Amino acid sequence: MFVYLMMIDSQEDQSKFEKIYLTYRGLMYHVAYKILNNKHDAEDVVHSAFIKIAENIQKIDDPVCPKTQSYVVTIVENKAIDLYRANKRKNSSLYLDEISGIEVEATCVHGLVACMAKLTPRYRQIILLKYYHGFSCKEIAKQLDITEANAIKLDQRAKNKLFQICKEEGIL
Amino acid sequence: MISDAMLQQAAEELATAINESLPDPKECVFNSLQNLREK
Repeated sequence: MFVYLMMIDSQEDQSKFEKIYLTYRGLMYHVAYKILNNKHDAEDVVHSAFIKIAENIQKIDDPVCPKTQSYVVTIVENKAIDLYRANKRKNSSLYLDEISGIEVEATCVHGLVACMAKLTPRYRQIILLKYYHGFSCKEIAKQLDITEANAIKLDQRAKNKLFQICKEEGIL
Repeated sequence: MISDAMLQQAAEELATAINESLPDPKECVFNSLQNLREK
């Protein structure tokens, strides 16, 4: 944890980070491992996710709350899927064609939320980071390691896809 | 198109559903430590 605390200036933010680290590292590992099915890869991904969380610690108000849980899970899922795709490019025979990421029980959600749950993980992550966590496209780009132009494009495509799903489902 | 207000509300509900579909973070800490012990 020391390596992350070195990245954070204020003591208040360091304490916030420590609580996030101790509360969510196991859950983050669980999410990463479910996607990657490999202990070392899952640990690497949790590490990359904590670096992003440390860089954005000032944006987090309450270290232990459902909103923070959603944020850390979104970031680690994104990093895990990125690594999954990179591994797939190296050795395509060992990997499935597409990865679904975290799955939400279809019976738990309805209407627009159910349509949102059907988006690809990348589109879902953009929507959550922008519309729930309130990050700008510039901030999202930094966290997902993409360009700002790509983040803007992804946001637009995610909304278009969501609109299309809603129309197909008769929601709109 | 879908308004930003609708997106915000739906995104919040989706985040809640995702959290509920995941195990309790306290249980995962135990599992993670167990994984480390297995190494």
